[in-house]
Amino acid sequence: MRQAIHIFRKDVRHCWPYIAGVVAITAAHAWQASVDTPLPENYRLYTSDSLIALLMVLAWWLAIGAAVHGESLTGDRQFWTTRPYSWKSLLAAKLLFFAVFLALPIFMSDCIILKASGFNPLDLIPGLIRRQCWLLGFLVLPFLVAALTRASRELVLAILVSCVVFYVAMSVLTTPLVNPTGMVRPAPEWIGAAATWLAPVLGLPLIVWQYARRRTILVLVLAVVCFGLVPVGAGLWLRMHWRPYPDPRYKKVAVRLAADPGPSDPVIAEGRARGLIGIPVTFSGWPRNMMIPRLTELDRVWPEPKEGTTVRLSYAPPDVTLTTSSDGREWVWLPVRDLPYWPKAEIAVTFEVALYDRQRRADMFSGSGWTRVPGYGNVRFVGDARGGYPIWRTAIQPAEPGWTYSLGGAETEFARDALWSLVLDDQAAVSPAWFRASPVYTYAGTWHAPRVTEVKTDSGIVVRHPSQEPLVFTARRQIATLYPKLIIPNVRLTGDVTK
Amino acid sequence: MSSPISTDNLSKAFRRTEAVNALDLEVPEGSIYAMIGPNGAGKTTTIKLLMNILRASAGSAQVLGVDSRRLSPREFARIGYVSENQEMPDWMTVDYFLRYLRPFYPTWDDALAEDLVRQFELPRDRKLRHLSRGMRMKAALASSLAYRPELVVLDEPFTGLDALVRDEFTKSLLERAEGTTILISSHDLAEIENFASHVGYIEEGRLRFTEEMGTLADRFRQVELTFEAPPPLPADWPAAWMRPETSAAVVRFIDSRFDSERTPAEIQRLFPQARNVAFHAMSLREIFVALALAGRHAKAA
Repeated sequence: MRQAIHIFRKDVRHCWPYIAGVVAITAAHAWQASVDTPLPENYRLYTSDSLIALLMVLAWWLAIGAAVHGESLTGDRQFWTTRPYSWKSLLAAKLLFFAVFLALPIFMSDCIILKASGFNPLDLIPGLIRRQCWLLGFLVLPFLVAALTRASRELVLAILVSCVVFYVAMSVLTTPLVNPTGMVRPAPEWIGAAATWLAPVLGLPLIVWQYARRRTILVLVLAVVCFGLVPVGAGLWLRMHWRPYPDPRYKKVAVRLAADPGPSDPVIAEGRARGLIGIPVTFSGWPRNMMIPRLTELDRVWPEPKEGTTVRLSYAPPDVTLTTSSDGREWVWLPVRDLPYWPKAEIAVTFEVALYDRQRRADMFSGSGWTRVPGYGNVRFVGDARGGYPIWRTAIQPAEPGWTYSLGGAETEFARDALWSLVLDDQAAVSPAWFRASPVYTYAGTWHAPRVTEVKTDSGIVVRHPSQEPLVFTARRQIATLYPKLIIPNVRLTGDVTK
Repeated sequence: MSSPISTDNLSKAFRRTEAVNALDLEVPEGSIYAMIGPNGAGKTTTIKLLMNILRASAGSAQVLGVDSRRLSPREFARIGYVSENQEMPDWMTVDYFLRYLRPFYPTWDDALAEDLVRQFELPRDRKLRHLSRGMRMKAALASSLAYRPELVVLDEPFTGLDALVRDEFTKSLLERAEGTTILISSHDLAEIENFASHVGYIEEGRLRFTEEMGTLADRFRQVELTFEAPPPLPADWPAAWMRPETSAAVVRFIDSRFDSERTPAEIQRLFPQARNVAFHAMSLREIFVALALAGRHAKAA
């Protein structure tokens, strides 16, 4: 142990510029992640977080390279190989270096950021330890590469190549599995967990072996096998054998869309030049606990009776409005432009239907400052009484991918109808904590259309701050994307234009 | 006690190239053993095998009584190794380099280290990367002598050093390593000749001969025969007579088995018409060149 500390002190002396870089970047990150950034800069929040994470990773790699290459394990010219070095002491010195100058700053930074985000770090000790383990896993690869290279230039090149190989391998292993009907199902969770632990479980023994024996070529071959061939092979095997949706609940899902045979004909609303066609329809074929929050028109065909030809109206697929009339019938509203005066026509419309599993996941809450959403994280509103936006932060874990979260004064079906909507950033939603510098995930509410609550008083209209409202936190998950086709053979398009 | 260094059938192949081929080497305790040979003969590879820097393809080596593959910090604390192409921690100053190494060696002698730094006139505050080649070698030697190692292994230590630095280097080595076994590989044969007690000649990875310096010098002679007219060379030319040259009425060769009685008798038998016979002692360099050329010719043949 004395020798390990002796080597460690030498490494500190040698690597102080790298240590200073890591500490400075980590401190900057802790400060930046601790402050609320008002919109519209909040968009930059993600960007700068990514930039700092990138710089931090770069600083880690360089520090690891400098420390490991102080006693390079490859080649046959190193002075230390003929000195009374114990490989155990040497390895212990490097691990101590990483613990003190890479892991500890991140741990402290995590605590500061959590505290500033309204979380008590003491409540999240297991998560913080898990993050340290993830960090270890993240550092294993550059450590291993450094142990197989002689200088920083080789290290950077090798790490770039390794990252590409590792990324491709992980992508093959963890990308969602899609079947031809459009059913999307994420890769099973155990694969993600296995991928997370793959690096330390395979990498650490290789590092120990390299330190003990310095068998560079052999370890290199094993590293390529472990980090390249095994994940890719496992991913390919999985893709061949994994059934996309073994859950029988999903097999029953088959949305059918048909014209309602009732008395009403389609109606034209808001004019023929730029209006809507309302078609009474019936939906069926999905379990009652699921819902359809999004209906998108993909393709519409109008056969023209006089000419016997088909006219395909081409425009960007709009979101189709789905309403329920007072008599309980459901109507699909198709946007139209310059609608022709055909007495009758056939309409064939293909829709994209996003089917969601609805689960109400949290109770109502209210208040100002950071407000706890049990099981989810903390929410606060930024802005004044005239408007603002919500910020939602989760600790350690990101919001579950595939779920949509909304925040409103009442339980709502669609995110866009909520008083405030929380929109997940795709990148943030899918990246596990160990890819991020911050232990906290920040999601900003939609900026464009917050509906405010107006209260009339004697002195005029007062806009109430959302935090004064009782709110509901609702989560829903998209489980399928389907493409039903609606064909209406005899549509009379000479009907009244309603306003 | 067994020899500080001994090898048994030691071999090392790099793909199809046999760098060291069934080497049987024995370095006597307390000797200054000079390992000589042409470029690519396998000297450096042999030393790297002994220091466990490289792994042998076959055979084994014992260093300080331990299998070289199992050399541990305990043995390395008794070995001083200096190589011409060793990568040093260039960012360290001379002073810090010595201070850093000190705790690794239980026998480190501060006074001796101080003495070596002074004798070598090493600039304490200068980083190793800013030292000249000679100064770097001196720093390496100082760091390898300060703990009074039982075995010093020097791989081409004189390469690139000027005459003055060589003298200083050699002088310090001999002064500070008295009683220490020294294995040295070098091309600087004139330098080695002055202090080596034993010599081993390696060629194509094989040890061609190994013997004490004195006996080597005794058994090599350059022989010059003078005749009235150019004589024909006999068909039964002795194998020990190397590099025969004929120039007008003079025949020259090198006898690698010189014996003050047997050699004149053999000359008398083969060249009875020789008018004059002269024997010249040879330097190590001359012996080395003769052996190297003989080996090259044999290979070409």
